[in-house]
Amino acid sequence: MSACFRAPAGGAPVRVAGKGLVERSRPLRFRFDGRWLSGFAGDTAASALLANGIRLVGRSFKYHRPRGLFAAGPEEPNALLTVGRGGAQTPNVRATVQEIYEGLDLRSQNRWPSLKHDLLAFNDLLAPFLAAGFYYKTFMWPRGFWERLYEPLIRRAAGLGRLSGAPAEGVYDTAWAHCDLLVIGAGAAGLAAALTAARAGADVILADENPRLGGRLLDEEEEIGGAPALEWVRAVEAELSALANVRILRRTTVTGAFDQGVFAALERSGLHLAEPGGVPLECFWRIVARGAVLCAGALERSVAFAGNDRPGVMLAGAVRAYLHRYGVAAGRRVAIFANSDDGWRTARDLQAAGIEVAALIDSRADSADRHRAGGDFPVFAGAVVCETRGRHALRRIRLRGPGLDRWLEADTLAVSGGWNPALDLSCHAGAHPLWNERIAAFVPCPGALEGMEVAGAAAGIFSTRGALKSGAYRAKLALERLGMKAPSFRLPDADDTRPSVVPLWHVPGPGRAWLDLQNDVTVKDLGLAAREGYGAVEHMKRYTTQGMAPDQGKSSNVTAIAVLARVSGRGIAETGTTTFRPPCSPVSIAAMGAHGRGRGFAPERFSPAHGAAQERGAPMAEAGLWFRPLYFPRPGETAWRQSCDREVTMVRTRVGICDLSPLGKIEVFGRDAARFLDFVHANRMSGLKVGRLRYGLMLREDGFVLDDGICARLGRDRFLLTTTTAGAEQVLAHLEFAAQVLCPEQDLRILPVTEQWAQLAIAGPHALAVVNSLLDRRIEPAEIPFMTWRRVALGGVPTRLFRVSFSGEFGFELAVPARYGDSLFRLALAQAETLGGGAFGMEALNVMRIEKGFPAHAEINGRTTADDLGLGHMLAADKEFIGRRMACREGLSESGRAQLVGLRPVGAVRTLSAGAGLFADGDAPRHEALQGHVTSAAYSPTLGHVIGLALLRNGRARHGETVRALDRLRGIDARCEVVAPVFFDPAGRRMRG
Amino acid sequence: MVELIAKPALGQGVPLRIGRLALEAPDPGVLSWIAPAPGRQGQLAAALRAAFGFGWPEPGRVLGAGAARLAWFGPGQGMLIGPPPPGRLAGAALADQSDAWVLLRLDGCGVEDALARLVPLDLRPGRFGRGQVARSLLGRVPVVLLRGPGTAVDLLVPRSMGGSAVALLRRAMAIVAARARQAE
Repeated sequence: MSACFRAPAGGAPVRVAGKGLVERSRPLRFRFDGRWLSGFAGDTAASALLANGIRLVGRSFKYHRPRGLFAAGPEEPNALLTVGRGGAQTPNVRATVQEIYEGLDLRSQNRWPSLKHDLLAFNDLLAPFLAAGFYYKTFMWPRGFWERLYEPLIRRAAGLGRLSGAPAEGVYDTAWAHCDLLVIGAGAAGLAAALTAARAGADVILADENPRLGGRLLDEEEEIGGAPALEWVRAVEAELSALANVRILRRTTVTGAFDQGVFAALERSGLHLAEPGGVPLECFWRIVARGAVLCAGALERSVAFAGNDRPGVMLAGAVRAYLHRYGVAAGRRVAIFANSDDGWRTARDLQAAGIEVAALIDSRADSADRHRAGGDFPVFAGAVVCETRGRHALRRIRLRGPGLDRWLEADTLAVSGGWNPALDLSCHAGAHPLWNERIAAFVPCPGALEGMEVAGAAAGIFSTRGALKSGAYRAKLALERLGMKAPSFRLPDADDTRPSVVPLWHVPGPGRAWLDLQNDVTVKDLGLAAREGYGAVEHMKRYTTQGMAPDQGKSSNVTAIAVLARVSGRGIAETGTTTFRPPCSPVSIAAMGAHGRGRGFAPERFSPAHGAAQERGAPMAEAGLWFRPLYFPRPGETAWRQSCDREVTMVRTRVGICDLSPLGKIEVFGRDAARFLDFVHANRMSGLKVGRLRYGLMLREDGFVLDDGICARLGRDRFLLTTTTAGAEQVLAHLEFAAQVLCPEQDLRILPVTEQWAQLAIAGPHALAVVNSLLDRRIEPAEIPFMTWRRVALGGVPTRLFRVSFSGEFGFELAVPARYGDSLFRLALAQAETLGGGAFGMEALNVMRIEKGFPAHAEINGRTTADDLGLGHMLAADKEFIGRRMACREGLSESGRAQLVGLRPVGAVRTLSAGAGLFADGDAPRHEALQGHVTSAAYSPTLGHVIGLALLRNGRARHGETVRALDRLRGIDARCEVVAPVFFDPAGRRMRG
Repeated sequence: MVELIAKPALGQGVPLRIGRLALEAPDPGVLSWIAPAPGRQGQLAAALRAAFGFGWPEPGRVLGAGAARLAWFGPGQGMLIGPPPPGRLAGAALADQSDAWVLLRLDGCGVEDALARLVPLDLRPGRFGRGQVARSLLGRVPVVLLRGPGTAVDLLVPRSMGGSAVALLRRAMAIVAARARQAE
């Protein structure tokens, strides 16, 4: 076959005419480190760089050694590049996975100032001091230096690419998919499996990380059924694409296998597009499959020998892939070093393409016997490569064998040490793979993952014919488990070569022999780990970092295990593998959380009156996802306190309107509703008459307070509970649990009705006037005493009117169906304003409830008991209720507990802050002396000074004492008098009216 | 007498058309939550049959179609969608929920693809067809899913979260449309 070489600037490798699947009619331009280069549609960044003669693509993690392309697939450890800039910048992109497009901007990483002249390569000279675990031993002193000096220095010198710091641009996506059978990998085995399942009528998802189907068949020159293998691939693809029950996910890597047939997968849906527009860059799939066939193929491994990390030393399978798939010659003069017939295959393929084969070095002494036909290239049987030379690119290799020790010129060394099944996914449930001596590789343990079959090279069946056969067979088995019958699969003729590998892991020699290229781990590091007592495989991994980071040691782990086995005097099976955990391939957080970005993070809940509050410029705070107005600023008010103080005074002297729609509302129906409410409340509810309200307190099973609220009896068998805004979900879950699990025999039906109702508080001396201006029929105070409710009508709309108060003022609450909420708020507000009132928000509400000593979330914080809050008297002694037994424990009512008190600053400092620690006057403010904390604090415009609520040890007995409230964060140190927690209208005359 | 003006739950977000998908908020009529009294489900079913021609739904099922539907809504609960409830309900608990839920209807080519972005359930037509109802999450928004007319899927979402639901659906619809354009 003739070859046409085009020598680019770099001087070396080239496109090979007549080879490759790239579209030569579609040239594309891209940049690498600022330099414009050209490639073709269908190229990866790796193949295009290689075609441009670029061999140096990165610097290693620790020693900053020059590194080149090592693989052609996702296992690539060296060629990690940064794509894009600013918000579109993505570091650590594998060049072998990134398809090129017009204008693609690539940059090398971990080098300074440039890839070729990297000053940090100085680290390589320090290598004797930087062996595995060096930082555990070296940077021990002085103690404080680790965090501030050593770690930042090491992090800067060692590493991968960097994030830009700008928020990520571009659309990301997540999605769910469901199918009968998930086929992972679309090589020979995967295609046979998918075809078998598709013909059986199963819903099939076929996922493959390549843009094209075919798997390894794309990388080799093979025949299936007497024709080029790719013709068979095209025919299968055409059949699958035409079927409605098949979904093909290209560019999709299945990254994790989870319980009950759930798989995670990452689709690079838009990363190959010059202008993605609205197409997501990536989609994170969660695939729920009734069954799965793992056809992920196998990954080639290298051999450890001195200098095996130089640019130009590549996997033999990658050299063939660059040739057959991309039409790129990996080098001009290629030597091959292998321990199986893959060496011969590589040599013959290269020679047929017109590329000079410098030598085939086959470690098997009987190599020539196996290949009597030979080849027109030098063969060194029973020999090994033991050393290499060349700084930025390979120049020479040293061969050693029986009676042989010589140097050989070569710009590329294709190495094959055998193949490892890509079995990660089969191990995600915790199974460990089994060592198979015949193929010198780990294979999946049968039944490793429920519902998953493994076929083809992933199962250690490396021939094409074997892959086709096992793919079809495993799909059939998986379908049978689903109760489906597969039609028989006519197995086409294909290569059926037997495995020929003779294990070779490490060639001893001068200099460092590399295992994990991504983490700069050498054979020597493993020896050190074993000597220092970290010989167990999991310990070795942590000690040396072998197999960590983005590539997870895909091409090096098994070799490392074999080397560890040797240095620690064990067998490989006995040494075993480390634990496989998802994801087995990097997944960007942007994809996983796609719909949760920005405002998608959580739903926003808006009250029916939200728009009206917004129009009045009210700043909002979130409570239980609801947006609630904090205060309603008026012209001239520049600080929140001005608005808040005005609103408090307004309610206390005139009238105020507050939107309470977000308060949780739950209706309880049924003949046993009253009995049930007695059971879930600490106090009694069954005695409540229809039309009346009662304050209720709920405890958790453990005796602590769960939530408080008002209970209204709507009818004989119907109650309405209100909860705090943030407590609504928790209380509903508590009630459902109690009803379904604790009281299953009772007639109960529970319905959350928060969303149905818009509810307003109207509070203040003029509240009745506002209410009466709205009602269709005026109401007299005597008709609706404190803690009662009535059905009324408002513009003909059935309305509930409650006489209740959270501010301690004379007040009402009006509830109308939510669609009228906006209208009601505006009408009530207009009426209030004519009376000198207005709207008030959460800040004023909070001040007023502190003035009244009403506990809220700061006091009902999950750690307080009814007794702590001064509500011990509410615990009914004559009935059973949730939390009663536990509330009776000594520790929950003893006098040493922190109890609710009021605080009033009396010293020079007249302010207080929530969170301040409390200390007895005269005690040194140390942790051991802490006696409680301030839970809520506010300036009371009603009283003209700051007030606070606090939980203070034995507080109720200490009214009149002076304590010190210390807030180191805000620098507040205030002496306070302990007082009763109710500061304003302790007899409640105002709200009772 | 004051006049209260009813305001729709959703502002200007709907109707919405992106690519070959359309989102609208049709008026569902009256939504009545009904929970039969213990042991009287049969009587309730008879009363419903007399009024609408359908009885009480099995879990996960919807009875009726078009203007009157009764959807299972949870253990021992149903939601009557459309007409006002009949006068006699055999002692069942009844609550008007017309203002608590917003009805959204997603229709067009790729409805399932758009919902797959947000809903974890298997909504393939063969698995989730006419007569089925499911309670799930749309992103993080609680949702009740029903098959609508033709290829449409009806979604009931809490009123307060209607805006978030529309925003999520808009994003999902845009993704489906962009991918469809790219595939062409």
